[in-house]
Amino acid sequence: MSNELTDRYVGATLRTVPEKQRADIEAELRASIDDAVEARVEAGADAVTAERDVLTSLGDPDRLAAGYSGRPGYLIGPALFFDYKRFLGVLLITVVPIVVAVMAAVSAISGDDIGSIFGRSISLGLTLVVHIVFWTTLVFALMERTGTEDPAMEWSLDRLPPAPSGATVKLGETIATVVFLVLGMVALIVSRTVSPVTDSSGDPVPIFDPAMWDFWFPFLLAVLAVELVFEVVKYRRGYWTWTLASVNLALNALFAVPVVFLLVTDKLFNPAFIEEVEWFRGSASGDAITTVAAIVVALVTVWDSVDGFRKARQ
Amino acid sequence: MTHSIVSFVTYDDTQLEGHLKELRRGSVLLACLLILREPGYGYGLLERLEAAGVDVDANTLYPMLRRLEKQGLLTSEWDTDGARPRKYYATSDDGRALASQLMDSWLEMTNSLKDLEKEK
Repeated sequence: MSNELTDRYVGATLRTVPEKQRADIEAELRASIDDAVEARVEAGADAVTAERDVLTSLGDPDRLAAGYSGRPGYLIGPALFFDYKRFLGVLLITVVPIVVAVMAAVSAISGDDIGSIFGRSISLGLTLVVHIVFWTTLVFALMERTGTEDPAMEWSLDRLPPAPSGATVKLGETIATVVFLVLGMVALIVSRTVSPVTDSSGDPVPIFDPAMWDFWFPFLLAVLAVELVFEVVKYRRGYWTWTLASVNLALNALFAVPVVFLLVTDKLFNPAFIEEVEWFRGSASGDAITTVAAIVVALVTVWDSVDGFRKARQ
Repeated sequence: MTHSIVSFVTYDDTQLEGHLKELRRGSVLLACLLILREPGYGYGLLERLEAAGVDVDANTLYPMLRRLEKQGLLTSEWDTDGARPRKYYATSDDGRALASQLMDSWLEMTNSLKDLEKEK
């Protein structure tokens, strides 16, 4: 009793079944379907309805075929899923910010404008995320299929993070600092071409000495980029440690010392800028400004570094 | 059902079905091994399981029979004599041994549960 619906159903099921088993499965499945239809017809149903009911209760032919082939029906199973999620999270949170920050810094040094830096950062970030997610998922799906269990990934008591020794690093704080750093970097880069002050011919007069871009400003940008990475690392750690406090101090120093030095030796500001701005002119007020700025930078740096150690001590 | 009478329940029929299904799921293998001590074929087995109160779908049972054969718990043979060729499964020696162990364990569990129920 070969009906079109049954033929189509069996055909659909066999499509994804391994070649070797097809003939046997086909014969058995047809016999079972025919038996079931026969039973319903004997109980009073008409042939067409009976066939429809039987096939409907057998369900999705792809699922049936998966059952025959022993396919798992998922990409990454419960055993591997948590490791997969952790691994992916770690990879994304470390690789993406670092690579994007480095690229942005390099772009800034080679003099691109802020618009293109921003655009490139976004597109690089997105590409990176897509690649990382794709390749990680692929590797884990393969591991699932081949039944690999990486002993290195098995959890053991040794993997428990040590008891927090310092104050916790809060997400809000980290985000605020990251945003502040990014804005700082952007402002620095933008200051090259944008300024509140214009000269007689209407061109913007950069606040800072253009000579700064030969070395110091790229250096400072790099330090800021590293500070950004440091913030991420600190957040991942979850709490302050002596090491983190020391690195914090080092980074602060790397930034502050050159800035103070440049301020005090009158190298930071653009002479043209000083010319244009009245209240900056005249050595007395000019000196006052630079002195105040230097003191502020020094104070903030010291306070932040000390605070770091204080938090590590908790 | 003569056990405890509950005046009202907060779970609905679907939840009850789910729990019952979960409860019965463990018995399918044992039931099959026991029934197939006499050779049987796909649909016939399905009917017998239904009659025995073991609730299993056709699309779970048929692949399962092949799996059990692959594991050596069942043997199979095509019967081409009758009007319709049918594949007959029968419990192998390994299958019988396993069924016996599973049965012992099942009865043990039943007794433990009964004891638990008696304790207040």
